Amino acid sequence: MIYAAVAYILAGILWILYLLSLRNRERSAREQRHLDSA
Amino acid sequence: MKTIPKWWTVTGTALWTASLALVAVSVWLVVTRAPIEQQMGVAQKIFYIHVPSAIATVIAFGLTFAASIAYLSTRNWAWDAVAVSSCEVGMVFATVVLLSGPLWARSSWNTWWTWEPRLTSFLVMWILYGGYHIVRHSVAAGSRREVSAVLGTVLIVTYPITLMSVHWWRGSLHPKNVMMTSDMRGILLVSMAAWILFYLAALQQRLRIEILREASNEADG
Repeated sequence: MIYAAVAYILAGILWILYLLSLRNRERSAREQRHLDSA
Repeated sequence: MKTIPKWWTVTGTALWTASLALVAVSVWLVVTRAPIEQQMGVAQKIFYIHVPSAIATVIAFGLTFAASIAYLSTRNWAWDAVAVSSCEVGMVFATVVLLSGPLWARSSWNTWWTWEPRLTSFLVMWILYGGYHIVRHSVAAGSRREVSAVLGTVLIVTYPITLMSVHWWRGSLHPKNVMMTSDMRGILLVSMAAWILFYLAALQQRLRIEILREASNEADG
């Protein structure tokens, strides 16, 4: 049972980290775009 | 100047809502309804995230190939954006496969890792597609899209090798077919639908960054 739980928890952590990175990168890209258009 | 269209944001919200709801349903089904396999026990439930993630990887890298070909044919930046975004999301799915695989292997083969054809070819594919991103960030901006598209096209050679490895080489421990009850098959189908929808949502989200970067590039002239 522990292996199945670890597999799902690891997958969950990986996806959360990736989606957070996407959010931060989008924010950076948006800021850069505002700087460029200013 | 390009900006993210309203319909793109609305579609993204709908995709995230649907995919997260379906992922939640699939996990609930796995925990409460999936039958416990006699030989492997509860550890067999890794199957419901391992296989859909592998399928999503195949779809993601396949789209990278198709979009790379489309970019080389048309030189339209949008195809390059699709190729790199799909490749990146595919890498996350491939990493899930490589994390869940050893946990399953430990239960069924009593080893975390073995250099059998499917595992080895999948690891090589993961390394090479990781190389796609390293090369993309290493080359000059002027040739980045062309180099990426050529790589995205060439890397497809790993695709049939990984898919067919269980048939082409002897001594593969990886099962060619999995015997499933109807309950298992039903929950696997729900899990597949959930993770493929999740892939589409993540791809759509990743494409937003490329749209914003293209807008900056246009502003830079």
